[in-house]
Order: sequence, then C-alpha cells, then structure tokens
Amino acid sequence: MDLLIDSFISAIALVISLDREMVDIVAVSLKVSGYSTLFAGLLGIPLGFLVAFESFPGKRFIITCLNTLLAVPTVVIGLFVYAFISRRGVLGLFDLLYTQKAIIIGQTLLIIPVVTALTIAAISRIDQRYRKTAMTLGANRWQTAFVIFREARYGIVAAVIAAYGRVISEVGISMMLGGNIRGFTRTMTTAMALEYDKGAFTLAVALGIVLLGLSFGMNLLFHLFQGRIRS
Amino acid sequence: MLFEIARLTKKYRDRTVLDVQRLDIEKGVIYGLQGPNGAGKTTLLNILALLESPTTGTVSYKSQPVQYSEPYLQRLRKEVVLVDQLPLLFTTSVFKNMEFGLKIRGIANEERKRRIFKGLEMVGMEDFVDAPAHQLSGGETQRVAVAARLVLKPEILLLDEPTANVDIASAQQIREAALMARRKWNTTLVIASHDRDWLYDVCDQVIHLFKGRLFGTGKENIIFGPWRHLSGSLWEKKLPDGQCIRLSDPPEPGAVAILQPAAIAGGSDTHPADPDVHLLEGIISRLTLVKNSSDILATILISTLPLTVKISHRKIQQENLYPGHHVQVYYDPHAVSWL
Repeated sequence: MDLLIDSFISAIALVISLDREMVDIVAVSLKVSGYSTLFAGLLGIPLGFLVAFESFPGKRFIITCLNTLLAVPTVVIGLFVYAFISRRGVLGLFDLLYTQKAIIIGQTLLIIPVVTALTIAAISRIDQRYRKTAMTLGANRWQTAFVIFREARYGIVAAVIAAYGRVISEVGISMMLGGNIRGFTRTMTTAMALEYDKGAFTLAVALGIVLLGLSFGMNLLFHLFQGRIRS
Repeated sequence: MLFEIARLTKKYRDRTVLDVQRLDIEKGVIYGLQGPNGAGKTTLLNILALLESPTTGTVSYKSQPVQYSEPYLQRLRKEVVLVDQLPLLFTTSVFKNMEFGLKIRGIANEERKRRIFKGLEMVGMEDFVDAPAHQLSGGETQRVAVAARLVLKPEILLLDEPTANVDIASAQQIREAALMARRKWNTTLVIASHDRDWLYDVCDQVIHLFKGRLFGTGKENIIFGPWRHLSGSLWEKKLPDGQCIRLSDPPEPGAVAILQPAAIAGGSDTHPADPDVHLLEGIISRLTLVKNSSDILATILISTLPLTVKISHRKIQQENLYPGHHVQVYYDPHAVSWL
C-alpha cells in the first residue's frame, strides 16, 4: 500500500513539474493518435455516410462486418500490419517497421470501423423527413446529402472522439509496430508497460494520471456532443 | 393543365394503397383532399410532390409525362413543393431555413432577403428571423415551413394536414398565407385536411379519397357495416339508441355504403307514410354553406352517426333548422351505392 501511495505522490510531483521524459512520451502519443484519428476520419466518415445514405445490396452485411471489426483485438491488427511492413512483407522496402508511421497505419486500421460504424449510426438516427424536406425544396443529391451531414454533425464528431479515445489507450499496436523506442515511438501505454516491467512505478503512475485525465476530457467532450444530439 | 394522372396505382409490397383512374389538377385552382386516415392522401401528395413514383400508370406535368429520373425530378420539384404533416426545420436559424430553397433556385442575395422577410410577415413570424429553428413551438415550426415554401412562389403548393397539429392562431395564419399565394401568384393549392368546413369554404373542388380510390366530392355519407339481413333485399345496421339504418343489397355484410346528401331529405315536417322511404330521427349538429351556391349542408346526428343532408336555404329559414333542432331524416334505402 505504501508503494502505491509513495508512487502516487511522486507521480503527482512529476506531472506538476512537467517532467521532460513524460512530456515527450505524451507528445508522441498525442501525435500518433491525432494522425490516426485524422486519417480514420477522412476515410471512415465518407464511408459511413455512403453506407448509411445509399441503398444497395449487401448493405446489412457490410454493417454486420463493421460491427464485428469494432471488437478486433489490437494485437491482431498489429500482427496483420507487421506482415506487410516487416522486411519480408510487400511494403518492407519502405522501412516502416518501428516508426511512428507504422503505429499510425495500425491505429488507423483499428479505428476506421469505429468511425464508420458510429457515423452510420449517427446518419441513421437522422429523421427521414430531413431528406424529404430537402428534396421538396428542390435540393439535388449533393445538397440533400449535405443537409443530412449537417444534421448528423454532432453524432459524427462524437464518433471521432470515441475513435480517438480508443487509440490513445491502446497498447498492442504501439508495442508491436512501434517497438517502444525511447523518444521516438514510446507512447504512454507502452512506456507504462515498460516501467511496470522495470518495477519503477513513478513514471508509469504519472502517465496513468495523464492518460486518465485525457480520457476524462474525451468523455466530457463525447457526452457534450451526445447531449447536443439529444437536444 | 398542370397534372394529369391516369390509371395510377401505388403498391407497398402487395398492398395497393392508391388506385386512381383519372385526376386532373388545373392551374390556379384550390383542391381539397378529404378522406379518413389511411385513405392514401399522403401517398397521393407524395406522388404529386414527385417524391414517390407510382407502381403503374402515368403522371403528366404540363402535358409532359413525368420521367422518374433524379435530374428530371429535381427540375420539376422546383415548381411543386410539399408541406409535410409534421414538418421539420433544419437545425439552423429560421433565416437559413427560409433561405435554403431560394439559394437552390439561384435567387440573388438582396431578393432572397426581401422574400424571406415578406414570407415571414405573411405567417406572422417576422420577429423570429434569427431564432434557432429547433427552439420553435409546433405551430411556429409549421408557419415557418409554410412560409419557406411560399417564398419559392411554386406552381403548386401541396399541404398535408397543415392545421391538424397547431393552435387556432397558427392555423388561421397558415390558411390566410396559403390563400394569399393563390391570390398573388395564382398558385395551385392541394390541401389534405380533416377540416371539412374549411375545405368547403375555400376549395374550388373537393376530392374524396377512400381506401386509395377517388370518388365523389367528399360530401357523401360513408356508412360502415356490419349489415344484418332484415327481409327481402333490406339489410340493417343498429345504432346505439335503437334506431336502424336500412339499406338494400350490400354485396357483403361488411360492405361500406355511400349515400349521397341529395338522396336524403330532412326537416321538422313529418314525412307521409311511404313504404319505400325509411325514416330516422336526429339532431342538427352543424350547418355548412356550399361554396358558390345557396345550398346548405346540414350535419344531422342520428344517434352516433353523422349524416350529411343537403337542405335549401329557404327551408332552413322556413323551418328554423338550426343546430340543436330535432329533425326527421328520410331516404330511399335503394338509393345507395356500395364500395
């Protein structure tokens, strides 16, 4: 118990003093998670919109696949991407393994289904009368799509926030594809795992506090947007 | 002629919800669309609004057959607009909602503003121009929705139960605004409503829709079964107060009877005994003036069944036939048609 209390007190001091190593780790985490969320948003939002807005054969099957992919373990994605970017993989010549780019690729693949599925849910929740209203006012297909998108905006932002929350706290992909290289690919979660292995809890607890703080902030934002949807 | 509809059917899966042999919609005319819930009014309005396509049959607009391809329909939808039964406004400001259709039509900025203020003024909503649309009440939403269509100066304005879910003041403003569109721009109006008095007051023509089919003028009495065989060709339906409606030869016990108001007579005088005439007693509940005529439609409550009877203005005056007055109603049981 003393160990935990001592670690916690030291960790608080570390957070307050903005310890250089801790700040670097947090920065790497924020950067890779930010990029992966951005790319997943750029791919997942239009994909989700398309699936929700259009009618085509196999639509239900696609939604079922996407919902299944929501639960895919990070290590499976890590293994899958590793097979492509390792030296023997088809993308081996780009030398991506153990770089931040590798983490971004893996994390993007992890959360594309999250963004897509939640965008589909957000669009599907929009009252069909918005579509009818836009059409009767003379809107073409693009203008009608824009109206639906605008009405679903809070739900789509909530989807992006949820996706960011998923990648900032994942460890499997960052460890397998990033390699936990200090000052380069070490993220909050991989650093915590390493510090735990070393038996040095101070930095691990400090990073845990920052991660929890970020998660809390994400959840606050998420609920704020969910509240806007309901209103 | 704006719309010509011929041999149109609309099916959802195997259920036929609309079966219209012929319907013409002329320029500048106000049409009332009447019928019970589920009669197909909204489906017909959606087809006229070019939001749904018929299963079979032809729809012509300005003598050209409508092609159900999106670019073609988008062009026509700029002339034919619909106000839904429960309209929605986009979650932006009232101004932006009003502006949406005008922008699509490429109306210049200054003209847009002028029309928006004028349109909001028509429905008494000019003070709400910057208000967030989603914070408006039901009546205010309906008024803005109507105004957003009126500013587009459409050829045809389709109104689906425009006053069903609003307060009296909002209903009045919606009615006046719709009629102003006809006066100012010769807009054709098609109004679906349960408000019979309003429809007979303002409409040039009332169309009655029942079980997806058009028939009559909406003044007909519709009497639902079940019918019990009495004797010979006569069948009857017992009313809660013990009186019986007697009619002849229903095709089946559950058939729906149509009795024309002109086939029924009513008044305070006792009808001479006539074996061919059936007599009922009731109370006048409402009198409605038929537009462009001196005839009055009296709604006479026979137990719980309201019957519409055509009575001349002179007879109303002579016999003091006002609401609340007890009267006798007599009709020939053979003067019936069946659905």
